[in-house]
Amino acid sequence: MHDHHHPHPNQPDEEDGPFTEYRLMEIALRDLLIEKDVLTQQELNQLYLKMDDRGPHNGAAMIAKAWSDPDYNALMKKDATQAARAIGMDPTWLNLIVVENTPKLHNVVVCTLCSCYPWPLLGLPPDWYKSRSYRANVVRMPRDVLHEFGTDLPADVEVRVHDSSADMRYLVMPMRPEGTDGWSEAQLATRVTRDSMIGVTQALPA
Amino acid sequence: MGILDDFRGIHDLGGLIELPLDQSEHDYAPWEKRVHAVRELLAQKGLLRVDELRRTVEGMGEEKYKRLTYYEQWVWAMSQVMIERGVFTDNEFAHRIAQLKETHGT
Repeated sequence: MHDHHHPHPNQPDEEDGPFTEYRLMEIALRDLLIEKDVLTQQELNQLYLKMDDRGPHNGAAMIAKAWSDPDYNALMKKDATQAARAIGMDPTWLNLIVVENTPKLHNVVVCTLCSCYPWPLLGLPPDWYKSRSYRANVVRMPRDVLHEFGTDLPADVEVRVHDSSADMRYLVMPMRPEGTDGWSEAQLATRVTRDSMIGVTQALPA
Repeated sequence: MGILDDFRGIHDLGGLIELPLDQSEHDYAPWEKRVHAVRELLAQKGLLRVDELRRTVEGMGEEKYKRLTYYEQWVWAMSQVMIERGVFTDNEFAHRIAQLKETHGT
């Protein structure tokens, strides 16, 4: 993200579009919090930089390591929050839970009530994850929703839908694609997409 | 629809059918990322729990809930929680917005 911090008056960022009521509310909230010493501009600047580093590459690195290293794989399934910290990632205050796909089980993640998502590992969620239709439908007819994402599973594969909460943030460990024996973690990580860690798709083929 | 649907909150969508699914995405605008950052710092400092944010978003009323975009909901709810917690007052907030409106001519 870009850093746009201006002395008063605020200038609109081009990507932000015009000042709307709620954009002005954002400025008012942030200004008052800084004036009241609740937070500082420096803290915000540091966090903006950190947010830039959050994206699916973080989750992909964890999955690739778990595919390569049985000890790490076991740790990830036992305590994914600790597994994230073990390779230098900051899961913030969230409890991360990894659910593993197998030839007989496919996991998919939703937050029916709102938008809970493992953003320290995947970045901010895609719009559809927060949409009314995804939140409603994936519980009622997960196979139809998966089909819309181009994922068609055999009838004997169980589909398990995990409803995230404020406290529990699920990450799917997709199945390692065939034909990747001997691949490095970095190579493997290129097969792990954001959508495969939400569970609406599989990992990319070799 | 079952009898329990009468008791659903506006946010409680699990198991309903809402077609179609729109898979399009947008890049988050800088102001949306700033809202996220402020929310994260407030949480770190123990001034905003996830449940507080959600309760406020869910209590904003159906019309507003459906009209506002995601981060519009957040910035409204975060401001309400700050007022509830006495971090700043309703008046201070309204006054600041009025000033900004004057400056930016909206």
